[in-house]
Amino acid sequence: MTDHSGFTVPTEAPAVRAPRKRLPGKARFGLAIIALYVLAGVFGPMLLPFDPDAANILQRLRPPSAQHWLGTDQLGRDFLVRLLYAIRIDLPVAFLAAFFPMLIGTALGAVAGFFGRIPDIVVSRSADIVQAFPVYVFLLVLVFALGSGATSFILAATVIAWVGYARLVRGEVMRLREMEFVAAARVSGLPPMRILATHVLPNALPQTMIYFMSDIVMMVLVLSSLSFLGVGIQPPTAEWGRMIAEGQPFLRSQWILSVAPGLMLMMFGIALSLVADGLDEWSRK
Amino acid sequence: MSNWLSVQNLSVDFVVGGGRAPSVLRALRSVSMDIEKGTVFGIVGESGCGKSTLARVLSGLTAPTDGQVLLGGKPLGMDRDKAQRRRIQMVFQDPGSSLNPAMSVRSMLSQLLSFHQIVPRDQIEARCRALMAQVNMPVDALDKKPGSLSGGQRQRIAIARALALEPEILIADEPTAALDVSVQASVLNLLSDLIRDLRMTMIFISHDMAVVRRVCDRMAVMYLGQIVETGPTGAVFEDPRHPYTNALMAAVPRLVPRAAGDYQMLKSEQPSPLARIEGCTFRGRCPKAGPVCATLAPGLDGGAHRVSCHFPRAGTNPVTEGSSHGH
Amino acid sequence: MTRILEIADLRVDLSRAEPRVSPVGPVDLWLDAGECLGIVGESGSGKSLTLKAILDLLPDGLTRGTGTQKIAQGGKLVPTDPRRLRGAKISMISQEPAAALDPLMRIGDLIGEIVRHHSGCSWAEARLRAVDLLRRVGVPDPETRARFWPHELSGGLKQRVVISMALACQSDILLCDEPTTALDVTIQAQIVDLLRDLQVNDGLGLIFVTHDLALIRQIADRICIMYAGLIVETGPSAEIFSNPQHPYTRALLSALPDIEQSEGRQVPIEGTPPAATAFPQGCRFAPRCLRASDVCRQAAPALLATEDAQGVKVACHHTGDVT
Repeated sequence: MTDHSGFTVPTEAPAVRAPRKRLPGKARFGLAIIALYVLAGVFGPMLLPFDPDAANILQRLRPPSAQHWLGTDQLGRDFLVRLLYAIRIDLPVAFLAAFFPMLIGTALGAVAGFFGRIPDIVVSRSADIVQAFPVYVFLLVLVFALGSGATSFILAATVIAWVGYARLVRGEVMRLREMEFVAAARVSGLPPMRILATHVLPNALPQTMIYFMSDIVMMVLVLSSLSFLGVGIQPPTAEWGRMIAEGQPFLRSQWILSVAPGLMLMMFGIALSLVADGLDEWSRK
Repeated sequence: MSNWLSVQNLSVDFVVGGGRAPSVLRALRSVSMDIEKGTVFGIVGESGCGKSTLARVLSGLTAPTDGQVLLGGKPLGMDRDKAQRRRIQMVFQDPGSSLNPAMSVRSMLSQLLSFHQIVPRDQIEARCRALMAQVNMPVDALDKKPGSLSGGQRQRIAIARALALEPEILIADEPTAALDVSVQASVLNLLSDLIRDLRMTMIFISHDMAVVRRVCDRMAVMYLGQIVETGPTGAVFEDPRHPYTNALMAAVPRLVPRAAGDYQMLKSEQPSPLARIEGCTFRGRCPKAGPVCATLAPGLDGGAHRVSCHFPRAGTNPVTEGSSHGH
Repeated sequence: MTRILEIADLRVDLSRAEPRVSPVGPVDLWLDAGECLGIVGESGSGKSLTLKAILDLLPDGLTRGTGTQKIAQGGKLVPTDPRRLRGAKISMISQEPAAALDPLMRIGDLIGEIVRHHSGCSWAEARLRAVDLLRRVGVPDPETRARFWPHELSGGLKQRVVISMALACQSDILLCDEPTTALDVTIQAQIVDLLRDLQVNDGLGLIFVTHDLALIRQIADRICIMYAGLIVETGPSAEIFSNPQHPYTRALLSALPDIEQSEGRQVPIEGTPPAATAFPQGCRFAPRCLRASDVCRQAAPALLATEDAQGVKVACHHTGDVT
């Protein structure tokens, strides 16, 4: 009798999971909102011919009008333009403040998880030391030492936030390195670093990406908080946290000056969280 | 060359449980065997017998605590270079976890082909297709990730991965244990055909005795880290000498009921592999154990068909063993 | 032979499917006292679901369809709600005995609790009875073992403990869902021997589900071969093995290596079992059957007794054909 294991006939039922998984609706919605922000940040200021930093005291605290769609702030600057310019600060800075820690933390965590022993001791104890300090205190100390502004903030964030990624990736890598496909890669003769980079890390990435999305939200909030306190982005540069602080004295009359930046912050945070949630669901399917 | 692949007094100990009283798990206890080039050698045994540990030492995943492995006369340890790694490849038991879920078949094969420089860069795609043909898989499988393939298909991909490196020795560690019955046949037929066509040496590890009988030329029976019997497959099946082999053969359910023989079912369970056992490790369950079994461990004696027992069954096999404490 | 269980028209349906989708059924089963019925099939054949349906222990998303189930009570067959049979007249053991053992209770107490529940005796008496039961299932040194925690037991011992729990329920019938698949072959032989002993000496009825044809040959008096949710062949074990009639049964036997034979190649079965949502009209095995003809694709064959009786029933339009 013939061997029926022919070319085109499958010999048994295929795996239940479908090959293509769709990103859930909430993630797509979140991504759409983020896209809107990016577009508004890039093109918005070009469409509105106002200088966000140009003070014009005579025009201060005007309500919305045909010329200034959202009115002016306490120094007479067009408010809408400032909100849009703030996107150009908050988004990239928060992104970079999450991105560099991700790079460094992932690399350190991967090496610690895969090789164990000395690399693990070094990385884990360093992480413990960083985590021993209260976050905001550490952050404030660093910012005072480095000066205020975007660059210092990114630097300070990197020093502190890599720990989260390192712990996450270390755990994932330790789990993955016990799997048979890693043993198979070793038997095939691939050297350890290459196995880590090409086989292990790609499987750890989904979790890392999800964490990254949430981390950007965190960074936006931290940046805004520090700016609110006066140690982040310095005036006259437009930034949401700063604008909330500057609008505080006018809550009775022009409450929009504090509320609008707050809403911008909140919606951005929600959008990112939706994307993170959606990615999480998608990776579990 | 009857001792082309030679295992000599191989022992592997694992330290388990930390704290104040760590114990030693003796996974392999001074195992020796010789495998002839171009043959299929079967290793059978139940859980805890050490067959998987043996596979891991041979494939370079685990370092031996004592003893050595020789290939063509040269030692083969854990520190192997690229060329040495190619020579021995392995097909693992669970195709669900032995393939990287994030890598497509093409990526996985291409990486290996280019890393070992098996074919020039512009021929990698052609070689991938040829490998698919060799394992009877359609070419479009190259684009797929393991998640979209069935168990039998994944195992074929695992075989293709092993073949990609053009090894001389293929270790198959329970290759069909995780598959459906109707699919096992196609994977086993594939392995047999490949071994024959490519003239490879295969070490076939299984707990399924019926399959070992069909596929293997010679075999070894393992128990608690030791080889208790070894010889040509036909001889071991028809004429098992060691009481454990006998009980094992008798315990396997058969489609045609076995004729009554001196079949004795084992009454008890295996001792823990952490236990320190003096003398023969099997004596706790052995129907034939005598006083000498408690004090002196039997060696592996005999010619082509060897047994490690003080009281082996009298054989019908004309090549009789010479145990130094025979009955 | 007194009949102790009779099930007619058993089905397992997908809970929210309109129109009705039945991964299993309709299936008829019966069991006589002290008999072992074997149900054999590959993964996806529905054999495990059938067993679970008898006690209505189906996972989420599956419900038991209407059908009658009668169990012997006081010498007569009486219709009964499956849920009332659980842990009473009918018990079940499965592939993973650890799942049935509470890790926070010593095994003597686990068994004792069941004994007390069924007989209402004192704790002391229940403990003694538990030790007796452990002895009955062949646990060595039962007094000491009764003090063990489940994680201290090996796989084979755990399975024995679970069997003793079933005995403590004083069940007439034991459903066995691949109980030896995860065990070493020598331990499997011991457990099978124990079940046989209980069947022959204590009159325990067994319904044993497995994918291992050779094992079923050893243990079952009567067997059913299942494919795609239906029984395709059934009859006395010896008859089925010496003279398999259904093409699927024959294909299965050709696909298996037997330890007695050293020659010959196994023959895989071409094709895929159909998914429950896509069962073909007509015979479900027709797409893979070498003998399939038009009538097979249009009309599902009924499970009918063969001409030479012998208690064998086959669901095939082409029985009696000489191949």
